[in-house]
Amino acid sequence: MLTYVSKRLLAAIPILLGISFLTYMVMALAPGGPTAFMSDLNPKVSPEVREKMVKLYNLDKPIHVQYVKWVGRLVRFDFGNSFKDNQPVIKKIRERLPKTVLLSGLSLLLVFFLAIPIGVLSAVKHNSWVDRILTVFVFVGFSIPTYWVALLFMIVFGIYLGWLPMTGFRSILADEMTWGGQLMDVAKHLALPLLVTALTGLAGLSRYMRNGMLDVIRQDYIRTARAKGLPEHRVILIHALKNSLIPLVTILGLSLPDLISAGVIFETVFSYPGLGRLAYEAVMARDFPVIMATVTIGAFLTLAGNLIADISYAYADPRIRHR
Amino acid sequence: MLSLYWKRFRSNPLTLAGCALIVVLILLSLFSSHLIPHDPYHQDLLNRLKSPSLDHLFGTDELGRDVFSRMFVGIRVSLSIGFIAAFISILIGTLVGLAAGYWRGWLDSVLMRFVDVMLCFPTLFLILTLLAVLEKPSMVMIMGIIGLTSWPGLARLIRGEVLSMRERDFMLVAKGLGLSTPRILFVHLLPNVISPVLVAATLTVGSAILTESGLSFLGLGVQPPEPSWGNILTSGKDFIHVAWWLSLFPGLAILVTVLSFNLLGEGLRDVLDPRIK
Repeated sequence: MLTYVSKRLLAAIPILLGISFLTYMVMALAPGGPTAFMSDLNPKVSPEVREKMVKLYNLDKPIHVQYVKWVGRLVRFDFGNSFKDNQPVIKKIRERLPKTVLLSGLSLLLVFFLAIPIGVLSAVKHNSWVDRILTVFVFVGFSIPTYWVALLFMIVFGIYLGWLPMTGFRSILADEMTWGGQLMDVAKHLALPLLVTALTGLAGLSRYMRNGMLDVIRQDYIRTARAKGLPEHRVILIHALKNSLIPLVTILGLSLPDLISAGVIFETVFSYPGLGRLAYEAVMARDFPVIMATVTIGAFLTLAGNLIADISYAYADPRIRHR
Repeated sequence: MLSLYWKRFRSNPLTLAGCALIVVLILLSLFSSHLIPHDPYHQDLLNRLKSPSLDHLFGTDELGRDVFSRMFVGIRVSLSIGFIAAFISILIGTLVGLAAGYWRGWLDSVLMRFVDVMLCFPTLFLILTLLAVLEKPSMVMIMGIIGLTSWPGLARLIRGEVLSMRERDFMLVAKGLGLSTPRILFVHLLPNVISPVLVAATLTVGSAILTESGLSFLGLGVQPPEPSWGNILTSGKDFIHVAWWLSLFPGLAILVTVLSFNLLGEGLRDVLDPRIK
């Protein structure tokens, strides 16, 4: 196991370097960079901003010096100060990241809770009407724009029924509430974004669960379990379920980039103060230090997610780590 | 062989429905200038934010423009961005996958590490960053950026297929006959990996349309007054308290269109590769 983990960690190093190189390339191409042939024609980038860029990213130094300095700062998570309000970028990230993690974590948890029974049911009743309805649901889930679902839910639950607040993370008067009241307030604000992300995430995961379960129940040991006279619910819920859960671990790591990506749009719709909305605001304001920080951190998070998925997969399934 | 494919294709009503809808959408977009009831750019400030009626089937927007006509023109915007972005993505993905799988060695390592790196970036973050670097986004840029950021998954898939083909007898024969490399690659290898390419192409059109609509919704894609389903939804968000029709109809159009491509793609997968179920 230890060899496997260290092998995976070593393999991540070139990818880390690749991430830093790609972000560096984008930055060097940015207006103000040495290769930005368009920048003189670009009215959005003032000479002042360009000067800041040159200073921040050492764009006046030779290329290899620039890159080494960039990597040196990445290692220390030093992304400079925001062009907009001159605050350290890392402070903004520290404010926003936990909120994205909170929302995506809760949403993943909810999705898992719902996807496992739905997937199992649809595999056990393969090709029945339950399975068909699920298939339709999955296709719709893959094809539906998340932000549109968000808009519709806002119209129904926020405007017509008036049950839930439509945007934000807390009420304006939240500071005057009791501790319990504040918790309730946050929960209410989280309800709509959570519902929307969970509904759209459910499609893929329940499909995955179904296919995993279908693979497992065709295997010999399941036939053996049935043959020795175990009741069907024991066969499915104890013998089959355990093994069909293993691939689900991988999907957790793999769904991370999509989850973070989707955040850009639905966090903006809900005015939810997360990482995605930070990225969007930064792009609108051409706040390059913040843009570079969000894209880099997004990639780091994905890499970490993949590593965790790989390692836990190997932990759960000995066949992987002994290959 | 073809008739067998056709038989399998025909037997799935959902695939047929998706296919038919795509054909209808293409026809509608080709003849849109003859079919739209109103000028999609004409502003009528006296009739702002009117709810759906017989004259304005889907109501009017905040400048009094007919939403139905604007959505009609939006079909062409969405389809052309979807098709061209998917074409770019498939072209790069297939070439990279073929090259990496065929030559192996250092080229394979470099290309696949690059794919690994690309797959680490949350796609939308990468797109946003590129858009921030560029000037005001034009349609061509949007197509290019979506295409350039969506190929790595396919490249990895094709590489895997090529690796498994490499050791087959027909490849040995092709090499033994002394055929030129381009001939081996495109005449003998490519047709054998074409099924995943076709499936991916169809699914990529759908996801490119979704991405474009999302970008336009954020104000970073198709720029007004040019209509797109995504930027009509922006008005839907801005006027969410008074005009539900601005939110409902464009989203429905996106859903139906993307759904058609996904159904067709899945149908193609079943037809071309019956092993996967």
